[in-house]
Order: sequence, then structure tokens, then C-alpha cells
Amino acid sequence: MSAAAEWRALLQEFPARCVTSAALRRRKRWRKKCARLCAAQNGLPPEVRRDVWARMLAAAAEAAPRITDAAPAPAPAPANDAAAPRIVGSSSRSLVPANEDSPRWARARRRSDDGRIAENIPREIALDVPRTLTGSGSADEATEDCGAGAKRLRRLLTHFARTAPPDQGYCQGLNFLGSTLLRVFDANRDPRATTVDARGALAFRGLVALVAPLYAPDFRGLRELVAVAGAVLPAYAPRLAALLRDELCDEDLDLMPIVSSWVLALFAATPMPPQNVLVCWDLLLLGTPSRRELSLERCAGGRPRDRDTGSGSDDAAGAPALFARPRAAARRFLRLGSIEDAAAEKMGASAKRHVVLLRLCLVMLRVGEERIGDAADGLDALSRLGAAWFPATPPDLCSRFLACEIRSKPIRAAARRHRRDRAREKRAKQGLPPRPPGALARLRALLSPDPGTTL
Amino acid sequence: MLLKVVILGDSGVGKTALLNQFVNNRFSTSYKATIGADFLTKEAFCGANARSVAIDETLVTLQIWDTAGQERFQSLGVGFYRGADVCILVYDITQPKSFENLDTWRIEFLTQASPSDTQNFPFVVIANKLDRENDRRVATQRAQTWCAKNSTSILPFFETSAKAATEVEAAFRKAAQLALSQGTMQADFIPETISFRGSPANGDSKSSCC
Repeated sequence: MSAAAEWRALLQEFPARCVTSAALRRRKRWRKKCARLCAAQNGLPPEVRRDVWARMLAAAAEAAPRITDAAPAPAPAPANDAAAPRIVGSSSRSLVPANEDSPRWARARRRSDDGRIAENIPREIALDVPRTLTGSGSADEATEDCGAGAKRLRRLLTHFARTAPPDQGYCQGLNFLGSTLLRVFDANRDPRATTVDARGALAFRGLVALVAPLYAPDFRGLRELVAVAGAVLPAYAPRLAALLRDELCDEDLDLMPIVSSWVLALFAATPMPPQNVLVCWDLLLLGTPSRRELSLERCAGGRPRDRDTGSGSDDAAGAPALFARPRAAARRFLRLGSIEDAAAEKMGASAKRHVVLLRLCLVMLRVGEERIGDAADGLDALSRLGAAWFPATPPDLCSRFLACEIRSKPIRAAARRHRRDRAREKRAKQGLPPRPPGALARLRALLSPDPGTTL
Repeated sequence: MLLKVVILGDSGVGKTALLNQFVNNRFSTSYKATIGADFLTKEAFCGANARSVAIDETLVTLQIWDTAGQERFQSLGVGFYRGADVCILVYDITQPKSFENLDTWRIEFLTQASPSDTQNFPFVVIANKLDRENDRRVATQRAQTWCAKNSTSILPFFETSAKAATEVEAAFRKAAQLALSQGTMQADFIPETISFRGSPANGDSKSSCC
């Protein structure tokens, strides 16, 4: 059986309608199985890539904060409540219509007129679209249909900016995500088409739902991921870590200048060969749990980890764990409202949720370490690495990815440390005294052999 | 000797192009949008004093940080701005908005980087895209007035074109030279800063274990 046929058979098994938590668990198992297979086969076969992505992204878009009707009202509208019991199947409401003159598009436009979309956003999008498609590698982009591709991308981003929750909007980085997505989803369409089809728009929404915690609010997820990567880097690439610490002369190892663009654009903005970017995305999409899967974890009575240290963990966030019935808890969880709550709540798990992204970053950093070798002018060599940061071929990428075993314990510890530091910083900024140590810390202090420590 | 240079300015004014022109002597019409930040290094001979060209020239390594122009990325700034020796503000002569935003960028930089001497921190202003003189919408006079208003000493102002490589080198050299002279002036203050930062951190750790 060819690889493509094997994947088609797998796609048949995909649990599309997940109403019960058992089905959701089945889907999780399916995803993990596919992720293993994908890494072993050096990425998805190109024939099935679009189908697999579409399913993963549709799953991610379920339970994503309602784009068009979530934001303005503080409490969910009654209409929303009516729709809430059916968790799935509601995601097809805010798609981009193929025809811009349709009534739905007009409604979206009217909604955007009440000041939801900042006036500079269209300008920024118009500025970024041509700066996204350049050097994307594919030969036909350079020719005439570059115009059509740019139009499609602009339409996709503008639609998103119009309908996104107000604290999200358009942010640089989404342009690269959109262009990679369209490259896969529009591969079979007429290259001169200038509209976005519903499938692509839904997929983009799912993608944004996946990466939203990295962007909003205030790049908190990105910060956590970068801090964690910096904390574990010495174990993965010791020479690079030493070099960076010497050269950037920071007290903490700060990978932000190197890693931020990798993380925000999921490697799409890098000079990596496009083929590799797609394989990275295969691994990422199959390796990152959707919001609903996370809610499953939370509802199944799993220990609400890090609740004591996590910022913004209010009662509502902690409540689902107390529910006996997972479905009722899931409903409650999904109704939590704005992206802000959800993102703040999910923040605690951002390094854990995006562990595949973290792993890919560590792979790249390791490659970089190899490539600079023992160069005396370390930083200079580093800034010239460009495409050499990345593995050259998909098989190389996948074998490195598989070889880069990641242990969850140090990552969890680093993430917790980062959050604690941030919480302390925040309190210091507000002029509050530092939070008194928790029971565990007091116990530790009691048991510690240091006699100078007093309670 | 290492100098950290930060380039700031609105989205699309040509920060990446300027940087690449200076470091690699290349220009391309197709740069990707910068996300987060990026850095390049270049070694150059520079003197601290503008007049004595050949004397006391030292080899300095310029570590130049190219930043994203979108407003949202400003909140990521602390890490990028920290320890900067000089800041280059860029605007586009065809975009009045980008000129008006210079104020914001300057203030944002000063609050986030919090240099020891806010008044005399060296800035260099670059008006880019001189090759599109026909579309000019910000008069040179206006920019010079702004420069004079915002600085106790003279704020160096350059009109450059990253495309035609006009004055790019000169602007960066001026920035390096300013940073060098500033560095020699401030050498005495460094120990003081360290001791100042040390004390609250100690107090913090004490109170947290009580």
C-alpha cells in the first residue's frame, strides 16, 4: 500500500463529529498516531496534505472564540446560549463568502464600521502582503499570477482583521501564516482566482486559534516559549548557549532575537526551503492539541496544574475541574467568552501545548550550533547563518526531530519559573509586596538544611 | 569594542534595506517583513572625535538590531533595546505619518531602554527613500526643526537612499562615532549603576523568604 493510500485510509477513520468526550479522546489518539507516522515518513505525502491539514485546522477552529459575535457583549447573547449545547457544527457560520457582494459580506463590513478595525490595519496589510510573497520560492509566484495570489492573501487577512476579536486584529506574522496556508489550500484552484474559498478561510481561523496564545495578549505565549527554550538550551546545544551568553552579555540567555520570528510565523518567514516549511507544519499541526482537546484534559478531572502560580486563573478557569460531568464542564469551559480569558488561562500551558514548536526550535538551534563550528567571531557567524540554521531536506529534518528527545519535566519547571518571575515583576510594577510563599515553599524552607532561613 | 545600535521606525520605511545596504552593500526590492527582530554585525574603524579622522580610530564591532515596525511589537522591545549605545530613528520621506511617529518611537525607546542619561542619549535621524524625491511629502526643513527641538545638542540628520546607497555609510558612521564619544563620557558612571541595581534585588530576596 502506498503512503498516500495509507493516509487516505487513516483519513476515513478521523472522528469528525465529536460530541462526547469519548469521541474527543478517540480523535486525540488518531492525532497522535498520525503524528508518529508523519515523523517517520518524513512528512505527509503531498496528495493528502491538504485533507489532513483541513481536518486538523477545522478541529482547531471548533470552540475557537466566536469571531463575529463574541466580542462586544460582555455576557454571551441568548442566541449563543441556544447554540452552545451543540458544541460542534457551529463553526461554519463566519466564513468568507466567495462573492464579496453577498449580504453576509456586507454585514461583516457594516460590523466593521463601528470602529472595530483600526484605520491603519488595511494599510499595514497592503504593505505586508507584497513583503510576504517575495522569495517564497515557488517559481510561478514571480510571474503574473503573483497578483492573484497577493489579492487572495490580502482578502484573507482583511477578512480576519475585520472579524477578529478586538484585542487580536491583524499582527505581522499572520501574513506569513496565511500565505503558507493558501499555498497548500489553493494548490488545485485556478491560479487567477482572487477570492478565498470557505475551506481556506476556515482553515485560517483554525490556525489562528492554534497560535493565538502565542500572540495575545502581549505575546505572553511567545515570551514563555522563548524563556523555556533559553532555559533548556544548555542541555541541547551547550556551545551555542555559552556563545550567546558571552556575546549578548545578558544575565539571562535571551533567545528572543533569534527565535521570535520562527515561533510567530511557524518558520514560514525563514529562508528555509518551502518544502521543509511544509514538513514543519505537518509536524506542528498534528502535534499541537486543539482547544477542545485541552478542555477535555481539564474536564476529565485532571489535576489543574500550576493553578497557584498561573496568572489570571480566576474561579471560572478553575471551575471545570470540579464538575463531575465532563460534557457540562466542557460546555461551561467553551462558553468562557473572550479570547483574553481563554488565552490568559491557557498561558499556563503554552510551553506544554506548543511542545512540538519548542522541539523544532531546539532542532534548528542545534543545527546552527553545528554549522558555526568553532568560529572565533561567534555572533558575526551567527548573524550570517541565514538559511544554514535549518536542515536542508525533509528527511534530515525529520530524523533530527525524532532524535531530539524532549523531556517534559525540565520544560514544565522552566515554564513555571518563568511565570513566577513574571507574576513577581507584575506585582512589583503595581507596587504590591511580593506574594507570601505558598505552603509547599514554607515546608521546603523548614526542611532546608540552611539554618539562616527563618519563617 | 562592541557597540549596540538599534534601528527604529514605522513599518515599511526601509529599516531592513538600510541595514543590508550598510552591512552587505546590497539592495533588493524584495525584503520580507521583519517579525520580532533581527541582528547583523559589522566591523568598522571609527573615531570618537569627528574632526580627527585618522587619529585614535579604533576597530569597533557594530551590533545592529533591526526591529519590526508594527506597533504591537513595541511591547517586546525591552530585550531588544536594553544596553543600546545609540538609536537610529528612520522615517520615509513619502509618508508623513512615519515622520509624525518619530516622537512616539523616541519616547518609547527612552522609557523602555531607560538609559542612565536620558537627555543626552545619542540618536540619529534618517530620512529614507531619497530616490523617490518626486513623491516627497516631508520637507527637509520640517525634519531639521524637529531635530533641533528634540535635542539639547545637535541631533544628526541624514537624508539617505538605501536603494542608491546615498549617505547610508555616513549615517551609520555618525551613529557609531556618537556612541563612542558617549561611551567615553559615561565610563565613570558604570560602577554606580551596578551598585544601585544590586540593592533592591537583595531586599527583594530577603522579603520573599520571610
